[in-house]
Formats: sequence, C-alpha cells, structure tokens
Amino acid sequence: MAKIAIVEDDLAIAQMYRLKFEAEGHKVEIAENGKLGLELCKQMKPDVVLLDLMMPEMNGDEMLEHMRSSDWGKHTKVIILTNVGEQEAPESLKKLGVTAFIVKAEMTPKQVSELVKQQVG
Amino acid sequence: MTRFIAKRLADFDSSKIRAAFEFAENIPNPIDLSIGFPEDNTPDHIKLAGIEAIRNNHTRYTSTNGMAALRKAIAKKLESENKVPSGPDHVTIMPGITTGILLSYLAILDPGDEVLIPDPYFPPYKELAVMLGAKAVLVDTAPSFQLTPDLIRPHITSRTKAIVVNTPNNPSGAVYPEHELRKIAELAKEHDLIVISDEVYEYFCYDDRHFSIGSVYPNTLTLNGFSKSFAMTGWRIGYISGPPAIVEAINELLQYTVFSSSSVGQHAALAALRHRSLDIGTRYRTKRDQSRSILEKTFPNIQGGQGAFFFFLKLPGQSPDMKFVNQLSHRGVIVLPGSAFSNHQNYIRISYAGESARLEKGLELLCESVNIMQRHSSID
Repeated sequence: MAKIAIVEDDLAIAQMYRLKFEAEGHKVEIAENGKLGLELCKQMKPDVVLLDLMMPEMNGDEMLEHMRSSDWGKHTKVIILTNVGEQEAPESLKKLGVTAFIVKAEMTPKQVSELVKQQVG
Repeated sequence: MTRFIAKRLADFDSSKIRAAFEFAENIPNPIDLSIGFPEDNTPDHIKLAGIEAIRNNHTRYTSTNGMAALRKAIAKKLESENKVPSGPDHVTIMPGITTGILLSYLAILDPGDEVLIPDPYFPPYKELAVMLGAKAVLVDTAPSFQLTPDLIRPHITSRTKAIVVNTPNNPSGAVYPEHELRKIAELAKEHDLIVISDEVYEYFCYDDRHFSIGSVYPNTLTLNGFSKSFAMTGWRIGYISGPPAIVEAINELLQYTVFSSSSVGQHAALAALRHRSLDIGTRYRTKRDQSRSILEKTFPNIQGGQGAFFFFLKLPGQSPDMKFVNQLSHRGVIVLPGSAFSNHQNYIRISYAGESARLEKGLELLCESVNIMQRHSSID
C-alpha cells in the first residue's frame, strides 16, 4: 500500500482518482490548493504526489518549490497533472525534480493510473 | 493474423466510439452520458409473456419472417397508429434495427449505388453501406439538423437508390415535421428512390406528433423495433414493413443469415403490442426539459433535441471532440465524440436516457468543462 496525495482544485477529478486508487488499496488524501497541499504533504509524507499546476491560493509550481526546500519533501516523487502542455509549463518546474508530466487531454485515466502504479511499485 | 481479415473491413470505422470507452475504462462508477437505451426495466407483463413462452416450450425456430401473430399485430399497429399501409406480408421480423439496415441495404444496393444519409447519422447507416461497396453520400444537416428537400436535391445522381430518414433522430434528437417529410416523399417519388425510414424513437417525440413518411410514400421501408419504446434492448426484436417484393427479398436474405429471430423475444414483443403503455415519452420529456435547462446556460443555441434522448452539442470554437471527450473522462463523465456520427469534428453526443439520479451532476460537470475550455479559448 502506498500513500498518494492529490493536490487538485478540480474536486471532480480528485474524487475520481481517489476512488480509483483506494480501490487498488492505496491510502489517498486530497488538498484543493497548493497551500493546503503543502500542509497535507508535510503531515502525510506521501510516496507520490499528483500535483495540478493552476490552483487558487498557491500554484503547483510554488508548492513544489516550498516542498523541495524542506527536509521531508526533498525526494518525494511528484507527477504533474495538468491541462497545460509541458512546453508551456513554468521554467522553474524543470529544476525541481518532476517524475512525470501528464497532460490530461493526452492520456486516458487508465494510463494515468498505470503511471502512478509504476511509481509506487 | 490481420492477413485473414477480409478487405471489406478496411474502411470500416468503429474506432471513435471504442476510443471513448477506452478513455473511460477503469473509471470507478462513471456518470455515463453515452448510453443509447432507456434506464427502465422491461415491464413485468412483457417479461411474464417471455417466461410463459419458455414454460410452454415456444423455444423452437419460428418462420423466417417471424410469427404470423406478431406480424399481424405489427401491421395493425402501423395501419392504425402510423397510417402506414401494411399487412402481415409486408412485415418481416429480425433481431433489431441494425440487422434491418444491413438486410435492407443487401436487398436494394448494388456496389456503386448511392444512399443518401443525413449527417449526423447513426453509424451503421454509413459503415454498412461502405462495407457493401455502395457509396454513402452524407447530407449535412448542421446546424439545424433538419433534413429538407433543398439539402437533399443537389446530392441526387443517376446512381442514387435510397435515402435514409431517421426521425426522431439519433444522434441529434431532431424531429422532422410532417410538411417536410411530405416534400421529401415527393422528391423521392420524382427520382424513384426507396426511403429507409428508421422510426425506433417514435414514442420519444416531445413537441410535435411523430409522422411516418411511409403513410404518404409506398416505396418506404419502415424500420422499427421494441428496444427503445418497450425497454427491450436485450430481447432483440425489430421489424421492417414495406413493399412486399422488397420484403420478400429481405426474407430470402434472412433465411441464410438469421434464419429465425428469438421465439421467446417474439412472444414478449407480442405482449408489448397488446398491452401498450405509452407514458415512456412523457417521462422522457421531463428528462429532456431538465437536461435542456442545464445545458442552455452553456450552449445557448441548442439545435435538435425535440425527440429521442440525445443532444448533439457543438463545442466552442474548433475544439477537437476526442480531446474534450478524454478530458471529460478524467472528471468521471462519459460522452461520445461527434465525429463518430458525423463529418464534423467539434460536436459531442450526450444521452439523457441513463440513470436520472446523477444526470444533473454529469451535465453540470460537462458544462463546467466547456466553460473552462472557453475561458482558456482552447483546451490546449
């Protein structure tokens, strides 16, 4: 069983993935913006974070920057889940160690789920 | 192994609908706005007739063209309700309308013959024509989705053999008014065409009365079935009524393909006709109205939707349908890409036939996704 944090302001998407991953036996928590995501990850110490980029309060890239500067979040696997193409993603992301970059319109939910499964072993 | 697959399947395209379901594969408990059949269970008296048929050992082949009693009941229904001249010898039974389309095409189309099909269309109309070496000529009815003689006329050639009329329409929900159908009948007469009239959604007609073109044009093959109106999709009973010479040709084809439709299904269908409850249309009108009021806020110019249980919705700008369908599947909502039903690439088909409880939620998520897309002007 792995611990997965979903940081996503679209709760419909977040709930859909939560159901999917929980059905596979993983522990899943959701946060709906970067600020809450940071709090969640600090407490939960997830094995992998599914991170949306464009969110209210604090964007995904900003959250990741804070995470990487902490002791607990230096090496956590992060999968970016977004509608923005990789080319248009903030430059800063590339230096922050992203495991995978998923453009939602280009991958099916099944492919996303398989990718996460590979990461959590 | 592909070398074993016949060449006639080379242009056969079912990939778009399959892809939409693959997007949705593994989604836990999705909101399904793709289904093309009523959520209702088959009414009890119909189920009991099926059970009785089994108990009484009506479990053998029937005549190839179906049980005489059922053909008689169908002919009577067509004459009294649809004003379509019919009789037991005008009617033949088969396992659903899609088989009816194939057999009608086999009976009347030679390779190279042309069949006019209103676009958007129910996919078998195009694909089966192509598979038989005939030419499927699409008549674009967007944006109104109304089929008119003016749209049809420029497509008629010396090879045109038939025209498909599907009202209420799948996938647009459009209902063709009587005066247009009368004019289409005149045009068909002028050019000596067969009309293939698919009326499977006849009881799902919410604003106007359904009109059968076969009532004014004898060279019409009227296709109908029990799947939608009686919630009997799994019983597999449909029928064709038309000129006896063509029906006889179809019977010959049936002999070497289907041989006999389900005897149990036919007994159940007979019970459906004998004790009809036509309130299904009223219930679906309410669902149509509820769906429309949600959709209208995001799609202010909805066209069609006067019947069946579909809306064919145009996405903003030139947004590609497949991308949107996939994106929406990430939110747990399944819809079908318009390009599976049309040459247009920027429509989606939604169905409000499914589970009422989550329909509103599904439509709201759909609208929200379109609104987000509009805000970003493109889903890229």
